[in-house]
Amino acid sequence: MPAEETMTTIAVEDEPHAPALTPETSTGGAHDAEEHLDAGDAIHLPPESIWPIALAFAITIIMFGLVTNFLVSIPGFLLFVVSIRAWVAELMHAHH
Amino acid sequence: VATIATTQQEVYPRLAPLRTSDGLLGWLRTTDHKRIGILYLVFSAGFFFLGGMEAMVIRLQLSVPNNHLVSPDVYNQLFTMHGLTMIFFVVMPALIGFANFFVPLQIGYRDMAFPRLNAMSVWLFLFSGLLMYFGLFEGALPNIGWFGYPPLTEHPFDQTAGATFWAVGLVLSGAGSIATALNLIVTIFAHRCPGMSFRKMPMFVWMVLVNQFLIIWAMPFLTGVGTMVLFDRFFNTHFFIGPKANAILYQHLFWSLGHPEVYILILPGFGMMSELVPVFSRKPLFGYTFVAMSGVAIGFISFIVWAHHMFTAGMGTAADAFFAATTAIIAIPTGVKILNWMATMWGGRIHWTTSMKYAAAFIPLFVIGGITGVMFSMVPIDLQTHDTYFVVAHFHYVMFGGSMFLILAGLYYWFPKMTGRMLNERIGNWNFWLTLIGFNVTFFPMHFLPGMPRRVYTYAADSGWGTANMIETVGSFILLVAFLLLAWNIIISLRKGKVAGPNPWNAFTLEWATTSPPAAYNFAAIPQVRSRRPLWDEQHPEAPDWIHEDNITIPAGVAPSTVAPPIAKRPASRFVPSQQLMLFFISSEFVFFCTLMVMYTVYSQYFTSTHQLNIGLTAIFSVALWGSSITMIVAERYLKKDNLPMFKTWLLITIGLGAVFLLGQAHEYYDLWQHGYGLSTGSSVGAQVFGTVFFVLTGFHGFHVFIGLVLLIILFVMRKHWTAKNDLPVTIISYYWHFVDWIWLLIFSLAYIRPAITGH
Repeated sequence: MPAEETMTTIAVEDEPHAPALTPETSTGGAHDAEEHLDAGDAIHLPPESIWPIALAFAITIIMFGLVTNFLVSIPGFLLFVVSIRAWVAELMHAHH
Repeated sequence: VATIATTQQEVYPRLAPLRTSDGLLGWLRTTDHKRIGILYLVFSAGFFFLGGMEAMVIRLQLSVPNNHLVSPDVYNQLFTMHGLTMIFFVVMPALIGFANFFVPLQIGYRDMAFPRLNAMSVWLFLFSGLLMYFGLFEGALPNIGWFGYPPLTEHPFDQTAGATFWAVGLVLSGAGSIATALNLIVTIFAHRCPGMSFRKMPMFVWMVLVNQFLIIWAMPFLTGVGTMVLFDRFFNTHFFIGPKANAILYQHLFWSLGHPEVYILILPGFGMMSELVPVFSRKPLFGYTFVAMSGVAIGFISFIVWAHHMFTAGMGTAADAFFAATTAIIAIPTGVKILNWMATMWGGRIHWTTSMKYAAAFIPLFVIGGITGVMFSMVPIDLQTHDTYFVVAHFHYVMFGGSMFLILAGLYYWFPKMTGRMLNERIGNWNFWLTLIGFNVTFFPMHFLPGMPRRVYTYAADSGWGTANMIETVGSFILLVAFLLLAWNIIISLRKGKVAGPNPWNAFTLEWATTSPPAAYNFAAIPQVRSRRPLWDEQHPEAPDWIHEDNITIPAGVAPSTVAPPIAKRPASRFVPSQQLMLFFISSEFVFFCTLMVMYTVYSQYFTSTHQLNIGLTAIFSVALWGSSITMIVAERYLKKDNLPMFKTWLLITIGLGAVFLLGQAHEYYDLWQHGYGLSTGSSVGAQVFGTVFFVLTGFHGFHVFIGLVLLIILFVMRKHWTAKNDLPVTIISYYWHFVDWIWLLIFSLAYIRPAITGH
């Protein structure tokens, strides 16, 4: 099959609005904290975050402690609390 | 009208670095659905290496009779980890990886609904797999078979930590899968681009959507039953060990997940098939509605076929007949799809790319696996062939000939979009034929070994199984070469592959409307569609698909574009994405509690609970809990009116009522403990069983109330943030609170009122 190198065009809405240069700029109806993109075409992307992997790691350590030694779960629980707190703080920051 | 690719290049290049930084840290911190999709695929490839190596050792062990290459116990660990790895850590995450990458693109959106949650899910998947393999360092990989039938999972039969790693790993991976599934469901419901009604949705998205419902409603069975196993192992409870242990209940609950799981592993593949067959046949998908609805039908029916795995358990004629019938019936919607794909190819100008070859080969291979599956619906045949190599042949034709062939078809189809480079078709051709030959040489002879028990460590020289086993081992080495070729193809194509361009296959759906690989923001402007093949419409304005799909009559001599109906934005849902997420999560939690309630009902035949439970006292603190649901509604109403003092007051009352319930439950537990009842203790066998099931059922509910209470307290502490216009967290947490309040009505009826009425 021939590989076509041409750009594909497609109907879109009006020309895009001025791009939001900071990823967490409000979308103007951001009722939903994680609802980072409005139905319109303003670009609004969440930034990178270390807290999702930290939270997953914390949960794993807690479970690992259950299998091996409950003491191992303690740092996992602490990381869990810190991660949740930081995650919520990111969302609150984005919301405002 | 704008050119998306051009617009991106001109207007948006400054945005990309804000989203995705380079280096390892960038991948660890990513929230971009495309990177997360690639992570899923890379991790599943890593696990495929492990599972594949386990399979190679299994084949070497079985290649000749009386072989002792590995010990029997190591062999048990090998086949257990091979099954677990391939099911939960290879096929499932690979399909989720494709869904992660392509669903937002295909629906014309910029990411998943909850990017951070999406990132957490992929790491949870990786860590749960590593946790299961961690047993290796303790010399205790699970050795109980992938479905872990008790009593093999119990302490007296497995004193290593293997079964514990098994249960913990599955519970953890199940949690990650449910999180991903919720995310995908909300993304598809809430973020389809203008014009993309369910009737216009790409078939891959349709099948992924059905699949995610299977996950959120089937996985809780596994979570529930895995939790019971963990309680048995940690607290010596009596679910699956002891005089009244019920291993058959375990089988029912496990296969309530286990059989939908089979469709979880194939439905997204059906979606891929429905995407690439039309593209490479240069025709629209034949019978779009039938393909979509047969997927929905498969989803529903897959929940009522589970016990065909248990015909040999002796369920009785009525149950056997029911599950035989449903098992045969589920072949019908599956067959509908096969016919639709063949009809799509029929008369088409087929382009025999490697992807299409895999797709075409899938049809006969999956039909073989499907037909042997229908054979198993006939109880007498199942009784004869249960747990033999005939079964091993069957499920490898479904899982490898089906799911894996479609994953490979999807990989060759979508690799250019993911990387910007084409996979080498010449190497791909070798890869395909070696895979096809290697697969059939490995697994087809197993059909002729219906007398050889599955999972047997070795066999006698005079069994007559030696020749077939040697052929199978040779086949497995051909497969090994095929996958080494695939790895080589990926490596060299990433470096020197032909540049793909945005739409190398001249395909029809939105992912091909943007650059390859797509920018961090996917589309500069949200696209809008009028048909299921928007790129076809764009390239063929004289004959767009929407004319046929919407039955629009175009007068002679009139250009379709001049009479095209306006594209309306989809009406806003009553529920914003976060609300949808919580509601679907609650539906999944409901299944979890149903699992516990079924368990309680089954075990309640072994004890009488009327004398040890104080129904009057419990009713009082139950009324407090139910009342807290009403006070929460009142608090929300005051918040809607921006009456913050009254909101604060009623929220405090809600918290107080919830605390009353927990204190009441604590008092009840103390009272029972004083009378000798514990999780595993009691004066009689019946009392011990009562302690186990009562404390686990009500304890899990109490834990949910505790979590709800913590959330309410957080709402109270942060009360200055909430206003009539900013009440979403309050609303979402109230949903959860109402759920834990009213699920207690069912539990209270089951554990307190029913015994009071029946006297038992």
